[in-house]
Amino acid sequence: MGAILLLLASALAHSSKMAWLLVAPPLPVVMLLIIGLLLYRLNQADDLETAANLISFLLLSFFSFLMCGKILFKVTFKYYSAFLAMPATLTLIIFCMYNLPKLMDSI
Amino acid sequence: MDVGKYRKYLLQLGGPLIITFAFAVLIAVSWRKWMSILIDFGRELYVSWQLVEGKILYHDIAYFNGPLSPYINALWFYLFGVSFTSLFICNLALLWLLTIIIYYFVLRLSDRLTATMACMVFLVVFAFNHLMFAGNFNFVTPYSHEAVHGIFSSMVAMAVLSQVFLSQNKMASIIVGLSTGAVFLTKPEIFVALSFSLVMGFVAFGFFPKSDLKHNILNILLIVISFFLPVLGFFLYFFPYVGAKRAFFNLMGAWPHIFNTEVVNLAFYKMLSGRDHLWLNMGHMVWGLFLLLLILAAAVLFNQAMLSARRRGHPASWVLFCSY
Repeated sequence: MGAILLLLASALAHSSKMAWLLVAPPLPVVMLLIIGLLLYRLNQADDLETAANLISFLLLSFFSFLMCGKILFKVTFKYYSAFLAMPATLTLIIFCMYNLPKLMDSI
Repeated sequence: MDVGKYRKYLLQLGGPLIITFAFAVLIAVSWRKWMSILIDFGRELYVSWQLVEGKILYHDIAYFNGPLSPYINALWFYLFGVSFTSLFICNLALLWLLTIIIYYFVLRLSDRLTATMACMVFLVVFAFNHLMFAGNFNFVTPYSHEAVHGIFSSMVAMAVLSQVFLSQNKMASIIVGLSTGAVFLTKPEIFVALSFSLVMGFVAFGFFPKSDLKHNILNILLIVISFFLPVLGFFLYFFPYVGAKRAFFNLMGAWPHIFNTEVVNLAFYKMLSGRDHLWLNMGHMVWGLFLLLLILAAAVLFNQAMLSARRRGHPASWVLFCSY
């Protein structure tokens, strides 16, 4: 099922000329989802170090979301948008490479 | 040196070595092809050059952003001579420093692999960005240095803030305050993002049951006081030339223009924010989100299938691995 979904996603994405740029437009929505998830995890944190790390990541996510404010409906990696979308892209990488696998392990 | 210790050092140095190599390759490949000499970049050179010649920003030169970046660039010109080379060498040094800050900030939030990947994406996609016919929107020769200096100071503030939470370090609070003050002197959108995030961070930490309220208040006071230091410094610098009222409005930079509907509704700003073709852009957003979720769902399901097959010692695990 996973392999089929992956193939489908690749096929759909490659219908565009520069497919990897498609990751930019949904960044504000993705930031909101990450903020929600981090707030939920912060509510469950019981030691100071975990809370401080979660708040630091929450801070970066919130900063990333607000940075997208000026380009809310047209986030791209082109023009001035490249500067504003940079923090959100870093946040997405941290979430996908570190937090998501950890989340999957805990389920 | 035993093998375990050697391996540990190699793992620690692996990421930074790969990043350094990529940084060197990107400089070599893009050398002196970063910007357009005809579009936008002239202002970045001219204003700072005039400041070195003794002119005063806002008094002799009209300018619409905060004063930090022109004076930083003027400092580079003063120290290393007025030339494009001085500026881009100093920008490359700043970029290297920013990459180190991003590496350690991301490392604090995750692991070495993620920190390395984040820095690689930052360098390849953003720092040396050249997706348009004119470069300009990169971190080496930006069309507006305020964006680079603002993001640099914001990253410093956010990276140091976790030290404030954990160790109640007073120096860390002062650095956060100074960085935030520096961001205020660049562009409003970056300052709004940083200040709201800092407030949200302190509120979230304040609500945490084990945080020390007394130390939090002391840290906030230190941040607020040190925030005003760079702002006050520039105010006192401009005051003798333009008077108190104009010095105050000059430090506001682009803030007054935010509330000017004539500016906000210009076709350029509508295009930038995506308000020109709202429904089309929202369609792109939904389509991108759908693809992203599809890829993530596929990766998660695929991972679960591989783990389950490996646990059972099933030969399918090898097939799945090879297809991956």
